[in-house]
Amino acid sequence: MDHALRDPEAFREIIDRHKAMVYSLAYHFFQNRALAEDIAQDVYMELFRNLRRIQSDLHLSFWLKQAVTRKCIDYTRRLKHRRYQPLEEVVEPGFEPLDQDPLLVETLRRKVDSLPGKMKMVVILRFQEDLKLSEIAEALDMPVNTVKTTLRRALARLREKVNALEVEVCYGSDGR
Amino acid sequence: MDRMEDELRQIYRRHTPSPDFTERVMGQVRAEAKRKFIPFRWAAVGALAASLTVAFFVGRQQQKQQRLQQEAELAETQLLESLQVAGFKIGQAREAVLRPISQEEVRP
Repeated sequence: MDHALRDPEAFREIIDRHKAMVYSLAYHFFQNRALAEDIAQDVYMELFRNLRRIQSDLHLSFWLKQAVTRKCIDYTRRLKHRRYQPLEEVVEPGFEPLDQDPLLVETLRRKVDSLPGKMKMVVILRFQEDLKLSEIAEALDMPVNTVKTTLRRALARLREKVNALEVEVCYGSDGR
Repeated sequence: MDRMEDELRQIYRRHTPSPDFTERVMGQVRAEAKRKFIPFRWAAVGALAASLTVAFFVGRQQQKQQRLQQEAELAETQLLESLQVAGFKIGQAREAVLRPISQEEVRP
């Protein structure tokens, strides 16, 4: 990876190869494009400073996942008391493909968004990156069993919400 | 795989950042590389100045030693010459003292 320190084109290639993954993790975590780009930019700057320590492409991919998840969780802690969601970030018209149920998508998105930081990141890593439990555990520096329990609890909470929504859609809000 | 998990995969599929994202990061990277290079450049100038100063003083010291050595060699040569002259004079004096006095020299 050392050549990327001397050759800007090599570093540009690294950015291009992983930017969708880095940006999407932050975007799904915050549901905010500007913030996600800032976090992704910070991650790449940190990478540039630590490039000598990266040993392989696999290590690079893992390092980026770990850096972005850590930054997202740290940032949430700092922003705990001033949560905001700009109007343009709520839902973009035509953003979702037509084969998805917009109500279900919105409900799931909101429910995942309301989960505690690490739990939310477990869900995002699992469904965005399709990571195994052991890989999530490594990225979040958590025991595998804790990840397993966290994911199970998160999915149970989501399922509960989805079931309630289905009941509401089929029988009305009073369940009749 | 249930429907909810499929929906989650759809919701959390990857997106791409704005088109100028890479260029913005590269701008920051270049700025940081430049910031890192400036102290390095000043350090290089400092090191060069220090080595030139050291070279100047070492050169001057060597010149001084060379001059002292030349002076010492000259003094040695002069001393040897003086000793030779003195030896020659002493020899002459000795010869004069030891030479037998002739009658003509005794006569007043």
